[in-house]
Amino acid sequence: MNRKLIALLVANAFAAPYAFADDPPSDFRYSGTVGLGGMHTDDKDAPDASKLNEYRDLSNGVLSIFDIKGRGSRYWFDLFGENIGRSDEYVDARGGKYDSFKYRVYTDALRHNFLFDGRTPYTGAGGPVQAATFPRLDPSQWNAVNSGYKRRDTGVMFELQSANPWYARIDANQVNWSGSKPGSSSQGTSPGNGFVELQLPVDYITKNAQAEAGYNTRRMHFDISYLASKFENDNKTVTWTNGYYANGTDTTYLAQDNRYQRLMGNATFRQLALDTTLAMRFTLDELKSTVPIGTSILGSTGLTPISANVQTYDGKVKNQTFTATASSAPMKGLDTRIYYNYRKRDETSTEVTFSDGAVAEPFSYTKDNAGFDVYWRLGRANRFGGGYDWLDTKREGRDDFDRTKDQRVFLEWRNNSLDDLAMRLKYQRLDRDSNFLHANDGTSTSDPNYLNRFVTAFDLSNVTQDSWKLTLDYTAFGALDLGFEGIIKNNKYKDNTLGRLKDDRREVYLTASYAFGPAARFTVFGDNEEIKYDSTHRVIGDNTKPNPYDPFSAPNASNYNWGGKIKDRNWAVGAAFDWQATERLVLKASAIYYKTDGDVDLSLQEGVPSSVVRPLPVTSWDDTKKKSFNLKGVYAFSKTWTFTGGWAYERYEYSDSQMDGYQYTVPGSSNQNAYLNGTYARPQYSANILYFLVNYRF
Amino acid sequence: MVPFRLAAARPIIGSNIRPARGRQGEPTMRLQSTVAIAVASLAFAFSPPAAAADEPVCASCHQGAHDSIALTKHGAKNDAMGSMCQACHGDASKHLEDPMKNKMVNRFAHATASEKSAVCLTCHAGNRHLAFWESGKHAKNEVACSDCHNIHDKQKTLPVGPFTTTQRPIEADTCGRCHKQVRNATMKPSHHPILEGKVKCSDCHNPHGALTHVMLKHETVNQQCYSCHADKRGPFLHSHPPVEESCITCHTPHGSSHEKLLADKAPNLCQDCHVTGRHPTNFYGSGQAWLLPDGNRNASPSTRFIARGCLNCHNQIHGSNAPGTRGQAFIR
Repeated sequence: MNRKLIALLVANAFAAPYAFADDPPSDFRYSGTVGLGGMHTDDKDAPDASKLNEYRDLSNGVLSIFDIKGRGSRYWFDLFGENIGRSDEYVDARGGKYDSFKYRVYTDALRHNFLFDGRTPYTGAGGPVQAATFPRLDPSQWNAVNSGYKRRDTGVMFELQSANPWYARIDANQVNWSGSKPGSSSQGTSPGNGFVELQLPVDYITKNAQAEAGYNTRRMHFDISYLASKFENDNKTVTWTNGYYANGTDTTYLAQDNRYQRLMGNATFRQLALDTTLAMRFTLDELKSTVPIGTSILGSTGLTPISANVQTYDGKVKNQTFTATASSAPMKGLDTRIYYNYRKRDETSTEVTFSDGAVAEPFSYTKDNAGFDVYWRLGRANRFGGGYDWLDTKREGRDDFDRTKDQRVFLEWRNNSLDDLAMRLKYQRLDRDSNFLHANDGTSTSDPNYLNRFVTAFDLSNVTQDSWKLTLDYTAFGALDLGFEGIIKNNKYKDNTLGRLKDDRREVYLTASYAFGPAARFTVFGDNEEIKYDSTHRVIGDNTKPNPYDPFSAPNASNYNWGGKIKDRNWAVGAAFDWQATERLVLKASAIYYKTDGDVDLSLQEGVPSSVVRPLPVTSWDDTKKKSFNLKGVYAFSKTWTFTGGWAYERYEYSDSQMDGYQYTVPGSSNQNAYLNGTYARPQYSANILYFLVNYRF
Repeated sequence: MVPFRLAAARPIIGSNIRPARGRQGEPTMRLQSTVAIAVASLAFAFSPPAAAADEPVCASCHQGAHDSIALTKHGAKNDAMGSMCQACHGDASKHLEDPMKNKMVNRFAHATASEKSAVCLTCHAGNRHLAFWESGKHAKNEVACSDCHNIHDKQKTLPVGPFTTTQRPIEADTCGRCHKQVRNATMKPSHHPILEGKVKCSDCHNPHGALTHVMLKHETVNQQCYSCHADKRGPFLHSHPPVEESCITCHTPHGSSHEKLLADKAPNLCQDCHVTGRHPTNFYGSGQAWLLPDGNRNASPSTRFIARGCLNCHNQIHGSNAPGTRGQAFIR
């Protein structure tokens, strides 16, 4: 199928002008490059080379590329392809007849790898039925397993422009996914019952098709389009042996098929009064999914029936959106914009009540958003801006918050009073006011519900956010470019007692680039980022002690608060050099060093008795170092032949408290063992990559 | 300062640049790949030699500029009078009379962003993908077309990136000239395959203008993510409220030091919301890890901390179709 598609694309690219031409295209010119080469990768130091090959196909083999253009006064095409036959293959053919039509056909392959050379106690890992006999605590007796999936996106586009200003367009694509991805599952219903790591099957097809028609002039645009999308999963469930429940067959439920459709209309009216452009959009969409409800669950006595008020869950979500924006330039130097957005999500999925008390409820919301921004240019050198945004969200089906109101204000100053220096400074403040539904829960501090008063999920709780951003761009002597970008962003969840209290982010980025005449260019950059999260939590070990559910009460050995301070720091430096060494030889080099360093500091509330075991800090929290180096030479042997050769080196180091000292099993009593397979555990690698390419240019 | 003149849709000097329409009844294309290859091969073999293209008069002094667009859509429609050159640079008649004394009408070096963009919009304003240009953030923030689309000049800034197997230019290198930190984030350990050439900035954002916040192509963050990650669309029997609210509650799409583009890791991320009772409220530190801080093996590592933390058990975190409380707890 893929070879046919590629052959078809290549053939049509050449044949198209002749097929459609009414006169021989005497002014039609072809030019391009075709190349063939190879790659060799040495990664034998890697215990698990999936990280090295996460999205790249670095396997030893043939490299290829073709880049062909055809241009005439009436017809054109571009045909590009690379890595044919490899997991990251890409072919793209575009073309058309000016002011008449255009088309695109493409195929794009990707592989996402998660695990190489893992181990699993299961047979059938990555498939819909995974079996084992437990206990099985000797990994040397297990099966080897890899995890990853292939993704291929193949699509077409055709746009008819010959009835200008009217046009019509279709887009269609199909995305195929095949392979497996990491997953896991608890064995029992308590965390002490152990867990198993699984490789979940990935066999998806998503088909999308969109038809659009519209009208386009310089003064006006409108269009209407319809999109239909269908997602299909070949495996709605995966069954696996559960060692905790006497090697019974347990079931994990995967994504169901779903169908999505959307009707959209857009309109833009330009050159209105006060140099106004009015833009509007509406969308109506619907998502559906039908789930046959499972009728049993695995327990200690085998499969146990579970019932619900319905046999099938009909999931249905409708969205309606409307947006209107008026952008104006009412006088010289003044730009304004006012806007309104309306979003409504209406979920009418089946409300399901299970015999074990679980309830599945739909979630809906409406969002009203309005705002404006104003920019005023004061002379050539200064431009001031400011704006206000208001967002009111009402929710149904979320039990902690039913309404949030966000207000956002920003101020901005741009200055380029020095011809070679441009500055932009922006400040933004967000205030969120939320209606918390549990503020008065519980009758006393001994009532478990009392604790709900202090539990506010940070995504919707009251918050103030201040952010500053400064950018500077300086060009000196016409050849030296310097850039600076700095960001400070602070979120304070001002009324939270438990949960996230604040998070801060600071980042500074510097870059310098210099051109040594036309012969050489040099770029260097550096980046430093720090992100912090602070939170407070409460342990309640004995609800017979006084005030167990009051986080403001004095601590005791069973009930107390503890705090977490998480810090992620990232550093990056890099440089690239591009040098026309001789008339025929260009040398290119790049080097990057990227480091991430995280830690978690844990502390107990003041006054917690010394009998309570103190938490130990986490000093490795996704700590990584990546060194990349690439050296490439491009030699123009003649006007038509070019030889490229290169060497790349990468080294990736990894340390994390959740993975350091990794083992495949965590033994527990009474079959409460945990079985792991190595996913994400050993991503470190060191690799040398050699590659060459011979290009023919015509 | 010479007023910036918007180029006419048709050049002041030169021939009509609009191509003639084709006749009706043009033959259809064959779909069989092998036959198509044969036809193409014959066509190519018997194609008339490429006629020497009429170089525009401008090329006699500005050969480099002509060469840089000769094989682009701009250059292909050019003619001996330089109609396409004049479409952007303005009327050349005075310049041709005395090139040293009379510069071209439209001089971009000191033009404002809106003046530069206005030249492009003279022809392209009616393009479908520019429908919301005036309403978008780029227009409001004085980003000109030429800031991203380099018609002639070679990029001065050389992007820095790791080895990739793609030869295609990386769109993020263009966007990253202004959005520097976002470009930097694409090099973090967990990232979308942007530098690998498989995901582009424009897959999610519309740089030509959109009516959404941060110029997303779809109406909400979730709908944008679902356009690729359709398996997460649901609706699920048991949904997870922060997932329904916004994917970026937990994920940071440009890049993260934590796997799966998570802004923070489990258990900490989960504990920021789940603070009521039982095991979510316990602290998990290196005392629960595989190795103790002194390097010795921990006799009882906690399954709630090691490996993927909470996700070891609560794997179906985006939503579950399992019945009962097991689905509600996302453990099946």
